[in-house]
Amino acid sequence: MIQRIRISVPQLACLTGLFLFAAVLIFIPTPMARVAGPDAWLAPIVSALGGGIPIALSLGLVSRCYPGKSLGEAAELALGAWIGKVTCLFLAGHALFLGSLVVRDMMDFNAVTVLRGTPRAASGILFLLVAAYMAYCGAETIARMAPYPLSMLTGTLLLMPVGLTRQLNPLLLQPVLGRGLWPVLQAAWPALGWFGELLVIGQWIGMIDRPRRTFAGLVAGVGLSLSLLVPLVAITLMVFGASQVKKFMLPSYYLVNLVSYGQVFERVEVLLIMFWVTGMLVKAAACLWAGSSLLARILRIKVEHRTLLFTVPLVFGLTFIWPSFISVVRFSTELWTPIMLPLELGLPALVAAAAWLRTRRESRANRGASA
Amino acid sequence: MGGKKPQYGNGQQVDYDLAAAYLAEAGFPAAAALAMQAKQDTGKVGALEEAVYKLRQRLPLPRTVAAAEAVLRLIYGSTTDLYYRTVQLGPAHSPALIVALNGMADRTTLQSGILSFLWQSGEAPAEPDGLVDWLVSQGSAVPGTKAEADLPKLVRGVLNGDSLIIVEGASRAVLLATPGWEHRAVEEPTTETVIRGPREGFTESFVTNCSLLRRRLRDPRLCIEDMEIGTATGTRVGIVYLRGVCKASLVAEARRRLGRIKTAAVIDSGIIEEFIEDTPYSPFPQTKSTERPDVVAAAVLEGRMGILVDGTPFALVVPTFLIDMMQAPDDYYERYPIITMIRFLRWVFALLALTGPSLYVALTTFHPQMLPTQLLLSMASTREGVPFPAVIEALLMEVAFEALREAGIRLPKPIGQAISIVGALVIGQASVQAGIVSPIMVIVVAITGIASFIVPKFSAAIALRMLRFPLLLLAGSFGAYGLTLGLVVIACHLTTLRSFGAPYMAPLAPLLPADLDDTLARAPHWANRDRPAGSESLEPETTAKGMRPGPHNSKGDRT
Repeated sequence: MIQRIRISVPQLACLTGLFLFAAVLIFIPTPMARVAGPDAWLAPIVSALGGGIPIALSLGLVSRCYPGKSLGEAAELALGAWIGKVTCLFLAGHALFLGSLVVRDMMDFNAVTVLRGTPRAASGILFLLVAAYMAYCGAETIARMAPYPLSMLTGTLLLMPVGLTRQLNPLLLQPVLGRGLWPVLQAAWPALGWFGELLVIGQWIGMIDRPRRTFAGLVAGVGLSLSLLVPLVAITLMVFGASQVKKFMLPSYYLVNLVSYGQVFERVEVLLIMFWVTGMLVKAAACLWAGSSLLARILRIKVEHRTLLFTVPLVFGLTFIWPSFISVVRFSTELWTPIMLPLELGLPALVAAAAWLRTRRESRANRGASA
Repeated sequence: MGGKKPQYGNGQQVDYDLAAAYLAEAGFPAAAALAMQAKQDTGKVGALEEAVYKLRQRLPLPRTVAAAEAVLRLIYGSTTDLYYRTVQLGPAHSPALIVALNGMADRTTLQSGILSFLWQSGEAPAEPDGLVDWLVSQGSAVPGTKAEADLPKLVRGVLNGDSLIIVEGASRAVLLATPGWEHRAVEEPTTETVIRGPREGFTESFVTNCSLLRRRLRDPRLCIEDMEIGTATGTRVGIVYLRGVCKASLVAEARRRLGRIKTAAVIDSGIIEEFIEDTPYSPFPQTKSTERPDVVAAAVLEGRMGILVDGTPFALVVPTFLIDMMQAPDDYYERYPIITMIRFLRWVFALLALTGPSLYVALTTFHPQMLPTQLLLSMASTREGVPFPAVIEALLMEVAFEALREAGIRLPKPIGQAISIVGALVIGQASVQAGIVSPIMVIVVAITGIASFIVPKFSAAIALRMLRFPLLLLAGSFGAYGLTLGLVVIACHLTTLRSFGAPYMAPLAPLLPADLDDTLARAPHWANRDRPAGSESLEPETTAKGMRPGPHNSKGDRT
């Protein structure tokens, strides 16, 4: 009894929310605090509006024009076979490169936090193998699993203020918009590209059980990630203050180190980090699956997961292009957005526009024929 | 060699001349020649029997009683529990051969049947085929009695306990339904005991098991379809479902999966299970085996299917979900708040059974900062002098525990208990005193061991027990990070699994909020109105609306 893969809109929302939140968690809010100071917590909202929502709009339109088709499939239908294949290649490259960045983030993060004595490559290989297994299990499995890391992270975030009661100082968020809106807009710049990673979710839209609600699902996902990011940034600022936060490399890690619940749970950072690791795994698996399925489409390989044999070593190889953790942080916070944002915004917009024009023309032709 | 004819167990000989004539007439000259050779050379008897066995599907029904006996003796070989009797039903009638298996056919039913034939034989027609029809009509009081021309079916019928009556010159023979053998009475199931609830368990008899289900589900829509599986065992396997409640596609899928099984032997439902599951390499059971008719009845009411297998008290329920493994039968007979608490306890301990030792190893080896200082100091002092790292210590203890558990099950009950006590108390204490393991490790392994027995389904519990070894190695190498990755792999595997096409993790992944009323918590029966969505039932409701009890006024409305 083989059933067609179907993903519900709430699953899509959870996957999107987790996808956007998981990796951002490491670096946020340092680059924002540098520019916007105590108003850094407002910056993710602007980033979501500028980076996430336009892509969600494009993907929603693609899904309406071509229900049941992924972004890659829609690109081939709307732009023609060859341009479509080139678009698929870009999409696959984006997904796999993002996947390698996620793995590298994990490797470096482990090396400086919970696994100090363990070789980076060892933890990276293990992480990548598990992500590859998840990708092998398929899009449906990844989507079904997504709500659980998301709910664990939400629970963590809800309990965090309880464990930080003594350190929280809401006055550190004052004055709100003291320097106006411009610094907030400037601070939103690095996270624009992070929200643009939503492009990877374009491969899931073909499996949504109600394609007309794709946009709603994606917006709900962006909203979910915002509902986690904004409080996290605000809590970090309330504990350390903007002047301290802008000096940190891993602000969230320093924050969870301070969480304690009485004398029994004094150091729970490992537990919180493990919840986050599950989120990172879902993200890495999503990137691997999207990249592998796109490559399978380009190379006309019927069994999608066979391309994992090629993409997994490729992703692992790509993790070594950054010489140090500093360079990874610099790339993620300063270079990712300028390099990737045009691609992230442009590609889905191009496909959506072409799809809209083509379906409009086809419907007109059909109407003419029937008349 | 040669000359001496083989003596069969029941003292009778095969008439090779008749057998050869029959085989030649049936169009098998090579087999006929072999029969003639076997007459001269006993060394050829085996080859002849094998040839006849292979040809049995194509052999016609012999027209004479003597030829029939000769052929049947070749088909059944030198078995001693088969008896052949040639009787004369009446002075004007042709002789008839009665063949039945001792111990499989009920002698009383057979005797009363034959006697009734003999008493009324005056009314029977003399013509052989007419006599066969008369015998069937006389024997129709015994359900299942029929006339059959197909020799293989007649041969199989005798093996099923029917008595075969071959009338000289008739084109069909009579299979008198006389199955009757010794079987266990209905007893309380030993593997699924309950504090409150029915005490009846399935037996090895297919018919008894069907009746146990029928007694619980007096619904005309209850359907039991059976088929024979196993070329050597000819085991009767039945699917049980409620028409209109169980989806037709599920029934068709079950028929397809069972129908494609080609194997010699089906001794137990465990063999069927391995042939019909969706993911054969998974350690997790994808069907639920149960000894309890009430469990199968409840599953059938939910729109699922039961699979009964003759010769075993264990029935299967499909599709199955992970949550089924954590539910005990009396969950539905005890008060729901208590059961909710007990289920919560089961899930916690199931997780502990899976991760207990690995969590201990990860915490003590990689993340001691997570432990309160006093506890950490106390643990460090107990580990002082232990020569092994925590992961080796845990592996040693876990392997020893598993060995003791297995020994305890396999040994006779009194010795098994003694071994368990010696293992747990004496060896544990001695190893602590010898400084091989720390006392805290003994506590961890003991708690983990107990935790694994809290999981109601043995097959699920053993899967969890086995999976803790790779988790232990991961925790010993990468701490909580490795443990987390291992757990994600298990969760991912479980999410991928399907049982007869239904997601194994339903209603958790995919999340089906409507079905969450019988997962971790159990809603009261009056509130649990709908059948599970995961089972794809066509008839959604089980309980009427407004069944919540309470004081009512004279109109019957709740006050």
